Amino acid sequence: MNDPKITHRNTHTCANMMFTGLLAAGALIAGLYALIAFIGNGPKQYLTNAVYSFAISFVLLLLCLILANVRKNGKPFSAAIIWKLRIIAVIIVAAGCMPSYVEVNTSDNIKIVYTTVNFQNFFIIALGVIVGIISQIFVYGHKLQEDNDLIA
Amino acid sequence: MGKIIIRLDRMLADRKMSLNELAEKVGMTNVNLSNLKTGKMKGIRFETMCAICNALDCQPGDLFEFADDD
Repeated sequence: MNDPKITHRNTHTCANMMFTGLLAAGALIAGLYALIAFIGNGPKQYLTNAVYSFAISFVLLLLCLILANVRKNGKPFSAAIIWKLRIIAVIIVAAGCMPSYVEVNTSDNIKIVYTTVNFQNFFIIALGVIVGIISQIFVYGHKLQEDNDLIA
Repeated sequence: MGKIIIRLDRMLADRKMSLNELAEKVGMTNVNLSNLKTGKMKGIRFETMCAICNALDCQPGDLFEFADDD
């Protein structure tokens, strides 16, 4: 049975999956570039950038896997997706807790490096908490899905 | 409290129809129909019931039976 609605939905999911995969690859490349630059005596901000890029890449990869799962099963509410969302939430919160390196060159040509936690960190942590809450909503959705699957 | 018993096997036997044949007519999977027959399902949609009644040429009351615990 080729339901046009299902075909249309699958096409959309596939397009989103590919777009997310490309973004994940881009973030990974950016992270590797920043890491190589840091190893080659680059500024310490590059290390922070590399860690952020790897975190973004991993989150996007998980998102890509979630979309692949939805495309395969046609159901967004499953235990595997809930766990992936929880992992995403933990990664985002962890990334938000990470302080940023800041390098300042003084007029005496002295380089000062310090770490800082600012409003952006709290914003990222809040995003992680929101993803965590969404994962809990998915738990409820999963229960409803199980109930619906038991109705002929 | 009692329970609802599904008489699908009896209806199929009366009409000499196989489960696969009914599944094909109703547009359900064999697994779902088998689960319905064995009482593993929690409920049934009017849409499904209508399709089964149409395929078996019967009334909904012929498919279900209430059995009291006593």
